[in-house]
Amino acid sequence: MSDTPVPPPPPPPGFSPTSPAAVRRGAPWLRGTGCHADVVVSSRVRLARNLAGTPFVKKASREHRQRVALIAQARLQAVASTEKLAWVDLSACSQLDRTLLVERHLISKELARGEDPRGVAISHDEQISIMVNEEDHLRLQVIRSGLELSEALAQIDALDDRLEGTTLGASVPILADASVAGGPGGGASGLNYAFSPKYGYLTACPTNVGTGLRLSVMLHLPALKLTGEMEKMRRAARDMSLAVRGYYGESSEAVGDFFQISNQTTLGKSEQALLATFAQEIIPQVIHYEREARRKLIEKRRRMVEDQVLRALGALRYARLLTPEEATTLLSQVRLGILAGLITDVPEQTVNQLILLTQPAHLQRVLGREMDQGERREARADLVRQQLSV
Amino acid sequence: MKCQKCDNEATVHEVMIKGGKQVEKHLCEICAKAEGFAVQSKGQVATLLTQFLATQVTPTAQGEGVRSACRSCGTTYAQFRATGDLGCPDCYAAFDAQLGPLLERAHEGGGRHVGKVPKRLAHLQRAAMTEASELAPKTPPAPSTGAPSGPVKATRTVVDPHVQLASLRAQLQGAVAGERYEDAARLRDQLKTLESGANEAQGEAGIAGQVQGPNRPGEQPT
Repeated sequence: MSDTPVPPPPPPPGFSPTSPAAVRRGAPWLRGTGCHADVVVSSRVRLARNLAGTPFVKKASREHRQRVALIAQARLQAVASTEKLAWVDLSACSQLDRTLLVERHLISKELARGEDPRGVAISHDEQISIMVNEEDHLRLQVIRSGLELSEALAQIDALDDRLEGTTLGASVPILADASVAGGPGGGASGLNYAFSPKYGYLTACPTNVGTGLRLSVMLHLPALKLTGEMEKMRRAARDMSLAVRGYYGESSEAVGDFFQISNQTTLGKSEQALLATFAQEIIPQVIHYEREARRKLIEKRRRMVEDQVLRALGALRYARLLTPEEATTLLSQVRLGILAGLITDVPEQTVNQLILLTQPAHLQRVLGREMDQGERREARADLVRQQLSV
Repeated sequence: MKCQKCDNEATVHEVMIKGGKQVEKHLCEICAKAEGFAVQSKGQVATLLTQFLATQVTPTAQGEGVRSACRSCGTTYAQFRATGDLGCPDCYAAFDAQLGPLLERAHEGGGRHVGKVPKRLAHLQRAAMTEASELAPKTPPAPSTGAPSGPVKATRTVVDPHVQLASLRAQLQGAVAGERYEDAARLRDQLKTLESGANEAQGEAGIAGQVQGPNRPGEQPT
């Protein structure tokens, strides 16, 4: 192992994913653009990768983790200009900045928690994030607005190739240049992934082994919820070995009728086969069901839906105290009202971004001060009122 | 399709070639279980994994399996059972015997990797593609030529058996998906033959195919 610290890749001038300017811009994946954006809020693709010859993160000593961080940083620095990546050293980050990145879906709660060497590289457009020393040494993620899984998969595949860095069919092993490479896991010249022809990309948890690929979409399903069909959908998803989670993924509850659906099988099916089943068969069906439910609701129970979405808008316009859950739930209903043509004086984009800006860390960064829970409820209601004022 | 034993919908299908004759079985889940088929129960993979780990009581797992430890990182199988986390990439080789069935259950029968291969191993993928094209059924097979698989044997000598297996598995999946059961049966038989060959060749190396460093002996690019 090389003891020489590698300096982190410099962020592109003027870019910081946690700066007030970036935060006020909202998240690109909440733009409401892309295919089927009325139902599919965003598409996310991630790859789990580990360095060869190195213990997985949970088993790794602090020195091992430090080395993984150095190797990853060296490689990220080498590709930083192509990918326009900025490195965020999470072990040196404030709690607020960590929570901000979790709220923006750029890091996981797990990565945000620890103090050991860890970090994330984030692209200028916030589509790419590469977590270092999460459950696996590297977790590559691409997140885009709308149903754009195939674009996201192509993007992450190319990124994965660049991080690996060797030329196609290279016969010179990375280890041959160990002094430059920084050890068995590779380094500046390319990463040497742990891989077995039998089990594919080797991961800390065997549920990710094989392709290491997780495809997921965040869906807005207010009509299926209203018509009581959501439980049916959950059961069907479970039968197809899909995971249904809440707004923040792993073990989070669904808030405001936003659900994340993802594949669970990673071994024995190729990336393209997984994509074909998920993006071309399963998700289009869910989209169809939600649209049908919306259509029937408007056709048969228009007054009830109108009442509900306009009450939600009223509450947001006049409330003086709001919790994040209440804000999200009401904004979700207003979004349904806009998409169903029942609310015409509020832009969808405003509602989408408010879902993010009303989260605790975003609220504090936008308003430029730290606040306790009580203050935040007041400030949240003020912000929403101001943005949705008639 | 109805179950051959009762009126339920058949969800388990098996096609076998016995003594050159094709034998088909179409059963519902209940009858299939009664016949001894390992029917995959549906559920979340994580739940499945936990349940499987919690209930695994095979002699291997309880005996030496549980006590066995990975030589690289010292993780024991018992620790893995308790946490669900492996310690290092070498654990996959160390616990191969126990992990194999577990992974197949957790990944809906997918016990082997199909898909992307690191670029440093791309020569294996290219070989697999050549192999796949040579092994692909030329429609339809022409038995009258009387020439068995001469060219195939010649190619096999230069192909990593793991890659060849992966390629056959991919073809098998395609055949099953396309409901070409005769092709599927033929491919499965080829797989069985190859698998037994590969296992013998591997000897005591366990999953010797495990590539942790690029200097694996005998793995020069073709």
